Amino acid sequence: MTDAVGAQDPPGAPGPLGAPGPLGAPVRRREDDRLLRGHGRFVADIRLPGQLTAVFVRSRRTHAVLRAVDVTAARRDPRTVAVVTAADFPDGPPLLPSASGPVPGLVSAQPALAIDRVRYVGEPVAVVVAADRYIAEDIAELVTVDYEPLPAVVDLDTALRPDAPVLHPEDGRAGGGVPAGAGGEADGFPGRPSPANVEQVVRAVRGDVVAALAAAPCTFSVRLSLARQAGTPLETRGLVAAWDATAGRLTLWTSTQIPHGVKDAVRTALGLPADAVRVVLPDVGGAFGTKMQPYPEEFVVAWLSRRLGRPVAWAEDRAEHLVATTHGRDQRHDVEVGHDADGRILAVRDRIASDIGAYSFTNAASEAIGTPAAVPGPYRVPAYAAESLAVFTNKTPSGSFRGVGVAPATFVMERIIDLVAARVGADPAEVRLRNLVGPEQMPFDSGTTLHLSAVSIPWPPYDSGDYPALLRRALELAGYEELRREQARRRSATDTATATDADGPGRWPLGIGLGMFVEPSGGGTAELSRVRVDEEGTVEVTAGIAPSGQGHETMLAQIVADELRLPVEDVVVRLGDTDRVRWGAGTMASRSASVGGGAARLAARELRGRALRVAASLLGVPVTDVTLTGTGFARTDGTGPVLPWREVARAHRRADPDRPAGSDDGGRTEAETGTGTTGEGAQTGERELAAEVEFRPAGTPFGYGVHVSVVEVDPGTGAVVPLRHLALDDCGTVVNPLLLAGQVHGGIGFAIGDALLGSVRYTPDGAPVDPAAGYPLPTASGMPAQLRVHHADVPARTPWNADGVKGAGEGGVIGGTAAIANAVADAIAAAAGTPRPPVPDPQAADPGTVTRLPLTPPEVLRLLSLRRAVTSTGGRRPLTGPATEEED
Amino acid sequence: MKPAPFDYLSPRSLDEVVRALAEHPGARVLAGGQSLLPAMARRALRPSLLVDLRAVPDLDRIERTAHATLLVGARVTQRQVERDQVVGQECPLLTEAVRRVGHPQTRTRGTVVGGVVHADPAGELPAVLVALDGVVHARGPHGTRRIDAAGFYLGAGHTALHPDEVAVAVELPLSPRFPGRAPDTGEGAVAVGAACVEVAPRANAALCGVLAQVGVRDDGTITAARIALFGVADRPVRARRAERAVLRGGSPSCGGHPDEEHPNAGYPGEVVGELVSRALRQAVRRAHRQPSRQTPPPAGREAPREPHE
Repeated sequence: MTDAVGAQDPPGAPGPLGAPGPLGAPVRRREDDRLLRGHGRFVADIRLPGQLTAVFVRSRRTHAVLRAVDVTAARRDPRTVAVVTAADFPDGPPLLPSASGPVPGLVSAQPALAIDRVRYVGEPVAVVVAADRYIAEDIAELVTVDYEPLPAVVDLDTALRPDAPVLHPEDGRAGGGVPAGAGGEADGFPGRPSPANVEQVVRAVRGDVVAALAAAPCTFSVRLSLARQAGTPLETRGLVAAWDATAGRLTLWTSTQIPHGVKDAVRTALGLPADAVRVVLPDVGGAFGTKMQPYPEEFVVAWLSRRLGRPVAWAEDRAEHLVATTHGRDQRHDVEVGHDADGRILAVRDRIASDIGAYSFTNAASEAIGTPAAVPGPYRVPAYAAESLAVFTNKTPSGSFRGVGVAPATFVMERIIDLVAARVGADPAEVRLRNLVGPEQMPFDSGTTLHLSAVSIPWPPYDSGDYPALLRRALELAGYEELRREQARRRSATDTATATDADGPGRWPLGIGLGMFVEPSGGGTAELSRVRVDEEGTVEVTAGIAPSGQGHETMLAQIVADELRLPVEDVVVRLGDTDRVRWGAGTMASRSASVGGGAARLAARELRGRALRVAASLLGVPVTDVTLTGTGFARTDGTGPVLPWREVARAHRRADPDRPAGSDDGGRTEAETGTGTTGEGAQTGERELAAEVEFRPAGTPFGYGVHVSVVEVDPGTGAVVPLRHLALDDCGTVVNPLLLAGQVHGGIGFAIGDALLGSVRYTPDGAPVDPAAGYPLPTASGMPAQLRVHHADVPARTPWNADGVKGAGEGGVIGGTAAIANAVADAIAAAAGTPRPPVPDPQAADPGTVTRLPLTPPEVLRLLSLRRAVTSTGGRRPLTGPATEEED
Repeated sequence: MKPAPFDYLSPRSLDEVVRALAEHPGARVLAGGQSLLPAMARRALRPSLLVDLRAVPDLDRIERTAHATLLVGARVTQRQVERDQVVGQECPLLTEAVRRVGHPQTRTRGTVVGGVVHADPAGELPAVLVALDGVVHARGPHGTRRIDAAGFYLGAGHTALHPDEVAVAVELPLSPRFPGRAPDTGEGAVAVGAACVEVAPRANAALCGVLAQVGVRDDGTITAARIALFGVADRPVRARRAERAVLRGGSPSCGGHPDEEHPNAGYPGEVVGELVSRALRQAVRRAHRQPSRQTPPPAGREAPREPHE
């Protein structure tokens, strides 16, 4: 059951009559009509005349030299249109660009088709083109590959051994990517040269961690880890490429988060002029970070279409997805914590290693880069240092993954807090309150510096918020005290009654877990939006953000309608066509509402100003005497006509032709929120009433939130039953509470997968475990019976965009994963029968506590028996008993 | 994930089916297709011919036979059985098991016989056959033969069914739930209760589980017990030692693995004893229940799942 979140939100900006504007209203998603009726158009729905289908032949080996790729039989098949290997590219196949280490000629970059070596199962080796996928798969079976096996690097331990097989022996940069400005040994990290499989090292430092650890009254260390995950959007990847020989142009319909990024990458790889590639975004059925980089298939299929002069389509199948699309997480943390007897955390040092897979794939190192500075989260942690290694292994390359960096960091920090609480014998909520950054400290600059390979940058300050107040409110909403009492009741029932009474759902040990987080959203990168009004009065918004189901069309329409005093349904939104909008970073990092929406707000505001000036001249009054209402422009004194938008747009077109287009409007504005670069958008019309703004926020909005998870753990099987989940977010101004709730719901589902179900598994030889058998995707039936999504009563606006909007796309998985993990740990402690014993060994973490994800039944059962082994008093109960209870 | 080329045949009689299987050694029978077609899409299976049962008459029936058994035809879907009130009353273990197979969507297509012959070691339906000592009716070139559950499963995905045979039905003993309908044993009425308890982090795929069916006399004496385990070995396992223990009036799974012939290591081995106890307790409780509480859920509404029960 979901509480409506709209009711407690303050209304948006007042409309013309003082009525609430559409900002903040629970407007229903305009996308849903087509999507829910099955009228969405996805890549695989596109059928162009003469369209062919490509199928990729992929490596079946973990690590091998490619001795030969024999395509003779495949080419001989009469149904074959083309069979292509790396050798067919005159200058070699294009290399995948790397965003994480932008080094031209990077040897650890993946070629679009393997040249002389394969480094993971699933790596594209050849491509077959035929009339349809059935035939193409038949032909693909005729391609034979001669492999000479190489020893494989299957996990972090193997990869970091001094004698490990080296994935990229020619890579002079590997192991050399130690950031120059980092503290290194000064922070207590060994000054050893990095092993050869380390792609890069990133460090984050604040304060003097060595001194703080030495001075701390209590210290402990623990290893925490997260398993490898697959994004598994409902729609896998895919594209259609159509070369138009007449125009000398290539059109790509591709399922991506970054239409302009793909456009630039493909045109560069194919050596085409800037205007020769157009990327069109169809409906995209989920992405979660897996679609925010160009992929080998995009280069190869585009190249094939140009070479064959026909449209070529490729759609990834589900088994392919698990080996051919980037993974996430797969990270371990060796943490040392210093704290005092009250649970105040004085110092944290974290050695992080991330398994980034086989190549410097575009965003392969993004978990490794995104995690180190994010670990302290909403807590003060005065001294902190992290060293993060991005490590090559013979696995599918990693990439950005919903909550990248921040979700694993939050899991680690939230586990640390609970471990500290157990050690000092305090309630975990209380320990959080003792460590949270206070409202009086806002904006809070932690003084953290992030040292990347090439540069050192300050970690942005937290902009606004009242973290302790939000936590207190979440505890109140969740009935935290009552939950603790219920937990104690169940525990004492177990201790005193027969085993039978403690058996069954409703009697199993209860766990309550908190997950508190900050969510950086969309700092740095700019975003573009353009708003125009045509002579029929139609208002159209275009933008560079690229939705994959979030509801961007609805969100942008609300913001623009709010600014232009229009009904939401009167605003047309067109996204995802690089011919319509000249640039855009795309959709990622919880930035679409804060930065994309920020750009749309400024563009609409610019347009309104422009229209007011036209209206003023039509009405014959100074611009200050014109007002915009729901029906149009009028004199503020109420006299004279009301000019509808279409008349103003027509008048603008008829305006003095001697006045150069945009002469009064173009240029740069330095706003407090960021930099808005405005222009009239000369590309589409000289006299069109339009405004385009490229908005670069001057700082990073930090949303924040608290999740409370309540689970029960079956002590006989280790199965975890999520009972309730509450999310309380403060993401500043809420544009649309329904869209926000949708993001949080989905994020919690993702968190259940991360925490309880999923992982991409490999055999000890490094082969993926039966990808065709699928991946344990969370489903509706696994969601908690009670799911509540709330928003702060008085949101803390961000100063970094006009509306005060912070991002919210990732908080669900960030806070949810940590909360569920903590709830399971809490239930395990409760199951052992003694409430939170302080741990005698000063160095050891809580035995039998949660240190790694996912918490599958076997893992939970293992922890339960570990825990019972150390708490010998009254915790153990027989598994079986007489059959008298009255459950179900 | 597109199947390799294959031919397709939709015969109108069982004789034609059998003839097609005899003539095409690489042929497979298609019923609901919920396991076969995905395996073909992965090219893990490459039948040269699919022989579809869809037009074969008389295979879509659930029958009560004269000798107190239930005959489930090869085209009967899992959903049909799940919703069948006679099955619910008289073969409750099948109902308990079938509602945990896959999703409602797959149960609408998937057949009971298909699930039995697919021989997934972690599947619920093969365990039903083994628990109840059911019989698979197989039609081949030499007529129909009956294959007992005890000899049917040879390993994961392997059964005693010959390549030229088609399973036309599964026969299960009827075990009426309530006094009055029960066969007169001369010792008073016996009520029957059944339970399926499994560990399934995701509702559609169990790690392992236990099926139990008991007969309980008015005085509380357990007169019959049938227990089968799934997901613990390469085939469903009958837990006869546990059954004997129950009939002796003892605790059902006093320590360790309840089946002496198939010891196993790892997680299933650790939890199966507990699952046996739970399944038996539930089955006994259900046997004691008043008939009035046994109203099946209204048609069209999903019975509540209890994945961790």
